[in-house]
Amino acid sequence: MLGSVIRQAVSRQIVRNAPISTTAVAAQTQATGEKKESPKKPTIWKIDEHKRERLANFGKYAAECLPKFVQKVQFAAGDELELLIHPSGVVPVLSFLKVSFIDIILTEPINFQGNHSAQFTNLTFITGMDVPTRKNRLEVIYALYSVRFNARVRVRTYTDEIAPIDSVTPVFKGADWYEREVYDMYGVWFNNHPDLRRILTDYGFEGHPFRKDYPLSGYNEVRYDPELKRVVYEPSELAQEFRKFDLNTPWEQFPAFRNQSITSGYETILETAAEPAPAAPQNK
Amino acid sequence: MSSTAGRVVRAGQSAVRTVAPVKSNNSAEARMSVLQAYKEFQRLTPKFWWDFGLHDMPLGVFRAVIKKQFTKNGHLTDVRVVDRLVGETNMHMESIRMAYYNPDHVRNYLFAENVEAKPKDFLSKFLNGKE
Repeated sequence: MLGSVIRQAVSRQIVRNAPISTTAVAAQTQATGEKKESPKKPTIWKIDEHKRERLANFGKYAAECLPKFVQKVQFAAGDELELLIHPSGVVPVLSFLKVSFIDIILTEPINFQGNHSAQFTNLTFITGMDVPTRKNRLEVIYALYSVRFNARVRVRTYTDEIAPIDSVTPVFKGADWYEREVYDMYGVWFNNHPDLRRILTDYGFEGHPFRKDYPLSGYNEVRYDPELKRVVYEPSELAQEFRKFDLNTPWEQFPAFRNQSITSGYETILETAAEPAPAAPQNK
Repeated sequence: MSSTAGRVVRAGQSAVRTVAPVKSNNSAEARMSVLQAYKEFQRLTPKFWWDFGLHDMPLGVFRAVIKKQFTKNGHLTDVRVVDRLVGETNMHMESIRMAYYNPDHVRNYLFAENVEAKPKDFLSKFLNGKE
């Protein structure tokens, strides 16, 4: 009873705050969009300004609802919404995006799917990223898709070599193999994962190949030993001493972006002032 | 739901760092989990030894080899690293039980230290017939 009252109240608030797209307004922007054509665009991808604004609003709304976890809301490449979150907030943020308001997450079972404003019900992929110069060198990226609104969002979080991240398999069952892949390639440990093993590399493989410090030739090489009558793993050894290969192309690929920083493609929507503290200790 | 609660793992001179634990909250818990994993592995060992065709050595020797896999990490103090190794050990045990691993995998994993170093200088390469 109380739950349904809260749900109604919150869904009304959401209608005011953050629905992503409605067809009527989209048609309106199409009509007006023909008049003001921007002079030159870097890509042929047409950015739907109206939808972009809606997405930005949704990003702000998400940051308001989850102030503890969302550190930054930004657009990448024009209209790709990204939420940069604290690693302790992976499960709450993803269940928020799936279910879209916090009261449901707190009161209802996690697989609840009701009337809500975003419905990012599809987990497109999970992947990792390694930037050794950062304090927290590994990044884990979750891409979500809302079939209802044809909208996408990416959730990015960070970790280092040993700090664990909570598995999102309770929220998205399909996260299972993606997380195994991230564990295999980057060595990110996922707590509460049902079956965290390597998935792409061989059994008994050493190291995590997508880390930047993983050697190009690997650690082990494999051969069949006719005397022992079995496969033998040995430390890999190149016939030639290591050579510094010049792999750069002779052509400059993006001269127009020669002097731009690599982060210039991001546009910040909202940024919290300080890094939020991790979740308060719970006595459970 | 699991608790991702931050807990103090180490108090420095100036600051206390709170981190999310992998599993154990303190070193005593981590130690217990290591001992549990070790006992479970030793219970598994006779079946492992037989099923994977490792009986070219006596079971006692093989048990010692398994023990060495644990003792070689005895110097570790970070609770999270220990937890992770315990988690990986549990993965290995599962893979052994389910026969995901082949005998070659476990042989190479357990006896990697015994691989003879490849000849480096010219004379020993020549004597080994490499050059």
